[in-house]
Order: sequence, then C-alpha cells, then structure tokens
Amino acid sequence: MKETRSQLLLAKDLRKSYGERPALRGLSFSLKAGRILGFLGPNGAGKTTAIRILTTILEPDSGSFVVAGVSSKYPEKIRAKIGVLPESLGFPKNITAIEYLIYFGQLYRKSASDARKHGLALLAEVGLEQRAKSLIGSFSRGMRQRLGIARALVNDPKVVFLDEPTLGLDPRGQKELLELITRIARGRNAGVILCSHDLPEVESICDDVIILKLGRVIAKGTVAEVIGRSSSHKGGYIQGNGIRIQVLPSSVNQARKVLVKVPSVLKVTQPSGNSGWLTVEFANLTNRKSKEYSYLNNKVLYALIRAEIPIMSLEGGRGRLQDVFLELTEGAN
Amino acid sequence: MIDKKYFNKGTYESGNSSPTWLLVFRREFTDLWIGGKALYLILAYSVLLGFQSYVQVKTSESSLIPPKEMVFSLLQIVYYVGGLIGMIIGADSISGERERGTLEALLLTPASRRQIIIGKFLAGLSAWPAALLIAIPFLNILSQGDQVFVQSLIWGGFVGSLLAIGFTGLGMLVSFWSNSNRVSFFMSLGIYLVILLPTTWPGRTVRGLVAKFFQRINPLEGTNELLEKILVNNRPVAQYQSWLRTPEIFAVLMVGILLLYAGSHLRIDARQG
Repeated sequence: MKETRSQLLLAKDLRKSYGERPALRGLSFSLKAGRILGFLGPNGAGKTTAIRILTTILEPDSGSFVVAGVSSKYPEKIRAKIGVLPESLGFPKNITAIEYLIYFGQLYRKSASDARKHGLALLAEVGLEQRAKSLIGSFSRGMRQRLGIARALVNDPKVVFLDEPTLGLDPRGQKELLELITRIARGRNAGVILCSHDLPEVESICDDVIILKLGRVIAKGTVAEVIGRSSSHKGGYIQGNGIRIQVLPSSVNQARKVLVKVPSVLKVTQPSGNSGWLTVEFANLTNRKSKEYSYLNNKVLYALIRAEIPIMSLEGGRGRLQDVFLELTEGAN
Repeated sequence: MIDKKYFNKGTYESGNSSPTWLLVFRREFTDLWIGGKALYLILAYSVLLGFQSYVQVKTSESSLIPPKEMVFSLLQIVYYVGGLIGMIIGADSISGERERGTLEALLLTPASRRQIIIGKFLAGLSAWPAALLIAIPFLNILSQGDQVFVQSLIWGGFVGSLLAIGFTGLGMLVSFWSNSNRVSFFMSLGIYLVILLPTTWPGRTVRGLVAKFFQRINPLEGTNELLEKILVNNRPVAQYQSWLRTPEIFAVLMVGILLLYAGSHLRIDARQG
C-alpha cells in the first residue's frame, strides 16, 4: 500500500460483516496531517464499525490500513499512535481528573512524573486546569467530554478519532469543543476523524468528508466537492460558495427572475418543495470567505430589496451539506 | 499556556514506568477498596463470621461441641464466603467495565490484554487475605487454646487460597463472556450454588460412581474432606492428599484458561470474544 509522507492514515478496501449482514463494504480513503475528516452516515451506515476497525478494536474481514506508517498487522503499535474519544465513553467516578490522566499516561509507558506534567498540560489545553483535583463524578457532560479528549491526547497521537464529541452539549459547550478540535488538527498537525450527526458542525470545521450508506462510501472528497457533486448542486463552479435565500413562497418565481439578472450569478435553483428557499450559485468563486463573496451577497440582497421582495432568511452557503446528505442517504433508514 | 515540550515526544515512551499489570492492579484495587465494593462485602462477611462464632460458642456451652469441630465449621464459612466474594468481584471485573463504558478506553491503549487480565485478577483476589485476617481472632477464640488453631490457619489459608484463586478466576471468566453485569452475576451465583449445594447433602446420599465422580471433582467437597480429616479427625495429611488435587486443579485450570484464552481474546463485546 503506497503512503505519501503527509498521509497519516490510508485505508484500503475495508470490509466487515456481522454474520450474514455486511456492515462495511469496501471502505478506502486517506487522511492528511492537519486536516479534519468528517465521517457521516445515517444510523447503521457502518461508521462505528469503521472507527472500531481503524482503532484496532475490531478486525476487518478483509482489507488493510496504515496509520502513521504502521501497518494494521501491528495493532498494538497502531494504538500507540492514535487517540480515541468513543461515543459512549465511561469514566470512573471516584478518581480525580489528573489521576485519570496519569493512569492513562502510565499505560502509554510514561513515568508517573512525566504523566502528571503532561496530564496537567492537557487539562490546561482542554480548559479543565482548575478542576484537575476534582472527582470525575462531579463533572458535567461537557467537562467529561473535554476530559475524554484530554485522555485521547495523552500519547500525542498522530490521528485522533472523535465519535460524536458534541453530543448532549449546550451551544457554548459545542462551540468550545469545536474550537478545541480545530486546534488539535492545526496546532498539533494531527489528522482528526470526526463522526457526527450534526452536519452544520461538520461543515463548519471539516476539510474533507466521507458519507457512508449501508456500509458503502457514497460520497468522498473535500466538503465543497461533496456539495458540488450532488444533483441539486451540480455544475462544478462555486463548490460551496453559494448562498441560500428564503422568500415568501408566493414570491419565489419573481425572486428567481430578479436573481438570474444579477451579474456573477450563474444559477438559481429551487430545492424540492415550495418552502420559499432558493439556492443562488456564483460563478468564478473559490473562497467563501473572500471580500468578493461578501460583495456578491450584497448585490443579491440589494436586487431583491429593490424589487420589494420580502426576505425571510438567509444562509451564507452553510447548511448545504445537510441537503446533500439527506439527498444521498434517502431511504437508508 | 500549553507546555510544548510534552507534545513533541514519541508516542509510546519507554520511561521508567511500572508494568501494566501493576498499574491496572493499583487502579482496580483502589476502585474496589475506596469505591466500597470490596469493603461492603468484607463488612458483611465480618458480621456473618461474628454471628456464627457467637452461635457456636453458645451452642457449645449446652452441647459440648469440641473446639476442633467449631474451628472447622467456622473455617468452612471462611472459605465458602471467601470464594464467593472472589467470584462476585471477578464477575464484575470485565462485564461491569463493559457496561460502564470504561473497558473501551483501556483496550484502546497499547497495554497487553493479558496484563490487564492479570492486574484485574490480582485485585479481585485481594479480598481473600483480608477475609482470612479477619477470621483469625474468631478462630482463636473458638479453638480455646487447642493446637487446631495453628493448623487451621496453615491448611485453611493454603486450601482457601486455592479456592479463592479458582473462584475469582471463574467469576472473571463468566464476566469475560458476559456483556451485562446482571447476566454475569446470575451466572456466577448459579455456578457457585451448583458447586456449593452438593456439599450440604448428607454423605449417605452420595452413592454410585457418577455421584462419587461429581463429589471428587467438586473443589469445595475436596476441601471439606481434606480439612475435616486433618483438623477434626487428626489424620495425617499424606493419607488424604488426593483430596487436595481437586482445589489445586480447579485453581490451575481457572487461572490457565483466564490467562491463555481470556488474556488474548479480551474484546469490547463479549460476543466477539
């Protein structure tokens, strides 16, 4: 299996069945350093099976993978190079956060003093330094998730697997955790695999995305590529740099006529159903965060205001992964 | 601020760290004794032992039961309950972690599965020395100065240790094959009762080859036979040594399966094991 230097994880044709039921049917992908890969799919799509195989908890029926240069033939060596936050991670209640991290640090062969220093640094990184000596039993769910991430980082992993890290967190907790995940990828130059059902969250922080359905990969690429490949967003132009506008359902046709006349607007589409949403796609744009993109947004809004069409809401190109996901995974449940 | 120097080291350092089994043992031991599970079991055991000693002393005043018999009766409770405690702790050791979601984190480390099992096993066994220690004053009182006290400590300690090893290992094996604690506990208690009940039947009911075979392979029966002959009937050990084989084989078998099979097949889901 060829592995380039920047590729931290390379999976090739992973397959797994539970009895007669196939759970994973040929998963192949790669992950580069410093990038966040969103792992998506409806329930039962094979995400957890894939994560468990890649984290060496499960053995695949066939296929292989390489993590940071270590072949899947050496699961113990792979475990030394990965960090994992499982979906249903439990914690012992009667020990403190720092004792917990020291214990795991020692399991990775650190001396007690090194494990303590490293543990304190990790607690500071996840914002729990003030609670180092608190019993884990007294922690909120958000704090436990952050402690779980600290535990996943205890061996300075090359690849970090996070399974539903923001599940059950309040909006502030979610935001803080997403920032932390971004820091892990960018600051440590680690590869992050993020499993989540929260698609706006995935869209906001992931570089790449894989969508699974019934054990098969149905979409793969950068977030913009995956959005661009779906039937409702085809064209190969803006790749994620569009805008969604909701007008009154009675004004949809009028709004379309106005919008297509705006310079730089390549296409105006109406998603299925008449909820008043319109997708406006711009030509010759590569960056959603550019000034040019903001200027085009203004021009679109100005055109609608001048035509006296009431604007109900506006999405700056976000939330579209959700549409693509729903379209691609239709009938999976 | 994050101290960067800790993030640039190797991922699996070979510093002067403790062996995995010792780390797991310490963690489990603390959980058992500080967390309270072992403490509660030993507390209940102490109350039972005190009550039984009181009843025996009172009974002996009217029925003139010799000290040797009283010591043997109490010793039976020590190794019956000591074995049961080991089995209960063992039954929680793996399925309990599965249920609480803490096993996955442990299995995701590069720690050897066998060493994890060894650490857990030794922690599970830690209740037995405590049980034996607590029994000493009671045995001393009941022996009333008879030399059976020392003999009961030596032989009770030795054979009781074999039983504790065997039952803790058996409990862990049941736990290894169970996904839920409830299943593990019920299975363990069921197996324990199957082993215990025949020891309560009168000797005359054990007739025929099959009955004798089952008596022979029952570790509690073997222990009873051996200790009764040595402690109560003053028989030489050599004459009844064959009864020692059963608890010995029981202990070796359970530990062997635990280390050789469970040690290499420990999984997050029992059905994959």
